[in-house]
Amino acid sequence: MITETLKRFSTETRSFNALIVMNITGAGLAVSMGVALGIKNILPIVSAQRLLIPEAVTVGLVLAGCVLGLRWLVAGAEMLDEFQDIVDGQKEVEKEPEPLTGLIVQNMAFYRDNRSTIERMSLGSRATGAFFLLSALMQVQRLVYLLGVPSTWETLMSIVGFSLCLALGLVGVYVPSAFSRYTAAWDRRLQESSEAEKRLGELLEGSS
Amino acid sequence: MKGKRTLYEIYWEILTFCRTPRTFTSIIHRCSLNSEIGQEHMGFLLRKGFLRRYEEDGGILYRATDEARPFLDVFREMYLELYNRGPEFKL
Repeated sequence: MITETLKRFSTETRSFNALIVMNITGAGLAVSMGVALGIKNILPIVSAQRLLIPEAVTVGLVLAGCVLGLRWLVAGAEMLDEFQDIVDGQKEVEKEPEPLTGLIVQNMAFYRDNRSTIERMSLGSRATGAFFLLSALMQVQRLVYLLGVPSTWETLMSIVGFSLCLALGLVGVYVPSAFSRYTAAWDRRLQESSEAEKRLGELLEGSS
Repeated sequence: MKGKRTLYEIYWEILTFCRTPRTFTSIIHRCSLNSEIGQEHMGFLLRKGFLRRYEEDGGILYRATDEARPFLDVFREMYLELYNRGPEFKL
């Protein structure tokens, strides 16, 4: 049983660690895209030397998005740092029941602390996924037009850009579904630990 | 260990750590407890007879007793079992 539990723990730890890394990458990309879009919209204002309302509104929205993106990035980095203790602990655990139980308890405490952050990260990932999918969709018409003309450097770049947006969009959709599977697994464990608490309470009451 | 833990998880942690004799300071440090809460929990475990307090070389040490064994065993079995039940999370 210990070997199986250890194997399961190792798989789950690796998977969740990868999920956090994917999320941080998504947050980083969202912030960098935001900065690029912001600069693109600030330049016409600078050239015109007066306030252009549509561009100013876009810059405001992008700025708000970047702040959220940075908070998302920081939350992801903090979570990764906290989870690293569990990853390191798991590497040191031999096939013994006590340290493994300790890691399960530690992971439960981690989940109780980070449940709301995980939900927020999942939402951020969903938004980023939708943004990239929308970007990919918006490029389709131009891509179809470019594919009809003789192959050029622009066509190649458009294909690369479209593929990148599509891939990031799909990852953005996949990450929240993986997060919800993770939360489902740990919510069930937390619920069962509440039932276990009753039994442990009875055991303590029964002892002298 | 940090983070939100239940009372029984803290008891388990203190008792597991005290398999070998420990000082009060090392216990509260290891279990991330403040002095007041630590005293409260350890007082409970001492009253239950799960923890024994004794003096050695002029210092006070704490050690888990054999009476704590059933609690530790049940706790371990329950947590390993609840972890293994249900579908595994995998990417």
